[in-house]
Amino acid sequence: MSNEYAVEMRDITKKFGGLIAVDSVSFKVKPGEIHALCGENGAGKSTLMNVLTGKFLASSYSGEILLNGNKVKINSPKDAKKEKITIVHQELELIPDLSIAENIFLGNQPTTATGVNWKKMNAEAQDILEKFSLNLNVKTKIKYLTVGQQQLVEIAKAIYLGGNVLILDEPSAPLTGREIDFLLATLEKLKKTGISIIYITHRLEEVFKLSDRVSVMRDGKMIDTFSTKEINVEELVAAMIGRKMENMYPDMDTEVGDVTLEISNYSVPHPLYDTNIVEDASMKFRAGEVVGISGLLGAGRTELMSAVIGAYKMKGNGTVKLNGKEVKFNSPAAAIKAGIGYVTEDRKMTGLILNQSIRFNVSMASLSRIIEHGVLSPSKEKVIVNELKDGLHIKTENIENPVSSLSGGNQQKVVLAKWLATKPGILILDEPTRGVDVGARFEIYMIIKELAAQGNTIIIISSDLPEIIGISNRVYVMYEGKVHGELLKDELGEDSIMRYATGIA
Amino acid sequence: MENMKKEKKGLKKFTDFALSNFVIVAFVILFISSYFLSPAFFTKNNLLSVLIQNSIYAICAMGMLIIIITGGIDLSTGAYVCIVVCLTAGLIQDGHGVASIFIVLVMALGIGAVSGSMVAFLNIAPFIATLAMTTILKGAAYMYQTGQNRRIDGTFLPKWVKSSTLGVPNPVLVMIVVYLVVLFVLNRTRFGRGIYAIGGNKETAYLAGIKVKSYLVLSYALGGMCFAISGILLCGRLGMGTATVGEGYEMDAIASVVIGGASMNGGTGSVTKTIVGAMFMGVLYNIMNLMGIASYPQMIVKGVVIVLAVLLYKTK
Repeated sequence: MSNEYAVEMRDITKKFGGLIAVDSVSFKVKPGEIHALCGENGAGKSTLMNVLTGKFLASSYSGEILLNGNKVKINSPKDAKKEKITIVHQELELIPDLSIAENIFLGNQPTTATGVNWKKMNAEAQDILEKFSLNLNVKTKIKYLTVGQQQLVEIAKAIYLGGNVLILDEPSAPLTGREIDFLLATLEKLKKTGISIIYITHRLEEVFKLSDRVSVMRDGKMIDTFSTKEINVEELVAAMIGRKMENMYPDMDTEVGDVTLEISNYSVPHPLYDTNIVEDASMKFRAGEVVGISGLLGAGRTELMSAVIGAYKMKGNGTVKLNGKEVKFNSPAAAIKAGIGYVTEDRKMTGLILNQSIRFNVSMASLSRIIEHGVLSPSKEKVIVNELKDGLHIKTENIENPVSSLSGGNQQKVVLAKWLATKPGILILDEPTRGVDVGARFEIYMIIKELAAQGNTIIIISSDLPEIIGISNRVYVMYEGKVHGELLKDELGEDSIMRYATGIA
Repeated sequence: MENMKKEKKGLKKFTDFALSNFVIVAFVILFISSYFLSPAFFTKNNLLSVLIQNSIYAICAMGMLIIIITGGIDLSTGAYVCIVVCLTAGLIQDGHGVASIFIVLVMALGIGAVSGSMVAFLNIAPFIATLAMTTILKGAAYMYQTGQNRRIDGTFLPKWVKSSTLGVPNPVLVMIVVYLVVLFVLNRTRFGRGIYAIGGNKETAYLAGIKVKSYLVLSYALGGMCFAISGILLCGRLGMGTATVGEGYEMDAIASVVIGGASMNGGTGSVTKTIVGAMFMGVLYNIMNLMGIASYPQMIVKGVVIVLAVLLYKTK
């Protein structure tokens, strides 16, 4: 048996229903290497790692996993733990009200005859932190740490649990510059102890700074694995995005008019820390124009636009002008009144009321249109909702059906209908086609283009590069809270956007 | 074959209807069985007394429904009833006449607004906010009541409560009016739509421009007013003020709402089914009394009924 690889995944295929999330992927990690795993959102990276960490039963996917040359079956997170594979998720799994020491030893506390051996636990925890040169008191509650420190505690915990293979899912996303440097240095040190590290990231700089090798996934397939030294940024970006552009974006010439919405020097404070999540952003939007806002997750796109309409938990600073007049929206209600609609990114959490009917959901934001003398008019409501249902081809027999009975694409159309019912002059769409099938996607693009052709202002926040290139007249790219670039129609390309979005350009 | 299919479809339709309107079906069954179980049940006097007695509970239940639709709860129902009984009697004794009723109603509206503000603006859990309100109101009621004789026999209130309009006992009339108002508010106003939305998904409601905070305050205020109406009727029935009443009213109100099919998570609930829920509990008690079942076993039956109702709604 060869021990060349600490982890070897062979021909892994994992389907969710009819959807192939991971398509006969092979992935090998050497002992003592830092192996970066790159790819766009939805490329299959997380699913692949979930396979490795026992999130799925071994019978639910095909292919095999070898650890140090030995075939293993990983059926549960417990199995993964036994095999010394640990993962640090993007969403931290620490308990905020327990101390650092308690979190590190959770479920594993040293005991005496009468209970937890606090002395021993705290001393050992302090030892672990010192190994990471973390200068923290182990009795501090987790909630008093910065996200960066929490991340490092989580990694320390993962190491303590005895990882041979450590998987980090976008560990640097919540970290500040200094913390990232510290994290990278820590990982370098760890690597020397022989641990294999799989590092999932969107930030290409980190790939080049840190990794020994880099594997790229796209559309569920493993594209290639490179030695990081032998590849440059352009080649890596090309590998990540090199898919054919499907021609599903309706071509429609629209007449671009005056500036309707103007945001200048706009900053939004971070809800928890003393930093800005959006820094000094300035953007202009015109009538008849579809403007894209691109950037990676956490670049501050959603925070910017939701703060502008008064929907974010923090108040932004800066000026917002609507048709040349300075405005300030303290709540979404005020923005709706001024003719701004906001299709939020998560339809289940913030777009729909799932236990209610299609009718209820569609008319929710435009009740003033169906109220006569202070009384709701059900007949008027029916007319408006049915019109939108037909116009958007929402597939249902009856608008009284619960919205939860619809498919994802049709649910998204209900959200869209809700905002169209308010007759907005400016429509902001945040990830409007996430989880939407191809057919419904095309319909949504058609609606967007038509709205623009009617002289409305459309703003699209999207992580889907082909989409944002296909649909936008112009694109702003954000990176770490700042507007990093503005690309005109003829400058739009996946590589040009990616360069701005990853902070290279 | 075709016929069988039709029959099957019809049957499915029927079971669907029966499950989502379980309380109505159950009420009809209970009513018919009661007719056979005790000869004293289906008499005019008995039915009227059940109706009058339970109109007070039903009005509380409708107030509770408004609050439960928002995803909240009000545990101070009994305390409202208690302080309202004391105050109404006291104000009438002091010679304020019919104005006493309005004073008490406005006060209840204010108390509800305070509870609602604690929930909406201070983000205190409804359970805690209204629990605190319970002891505040109870304390106030005892302070107001201790050592006082608050008999109001012979004044307008007891007389009115004990009489009828067009053959309908006045408490029942009040219940019908409250029912119609709540029905209208829930189904035909912006506020009604708003609270269903808030209970269904607060975040979505807020983003759709619904005034979440003011609607929450208003819900607790309207709920409080319903509780006060019950308290005023009870005061009239008793013909005096006393701080020993109201115990357990919140639990009966919650039970009626839940038996009426509303979810404690908020976002659902029907006022018609809530009233039927309240009447169901009333008839159940009545028939058990008529059959000579002691009060402790009655409590057990009540608990079992609540659990069964919730389970049946879940199967839908």
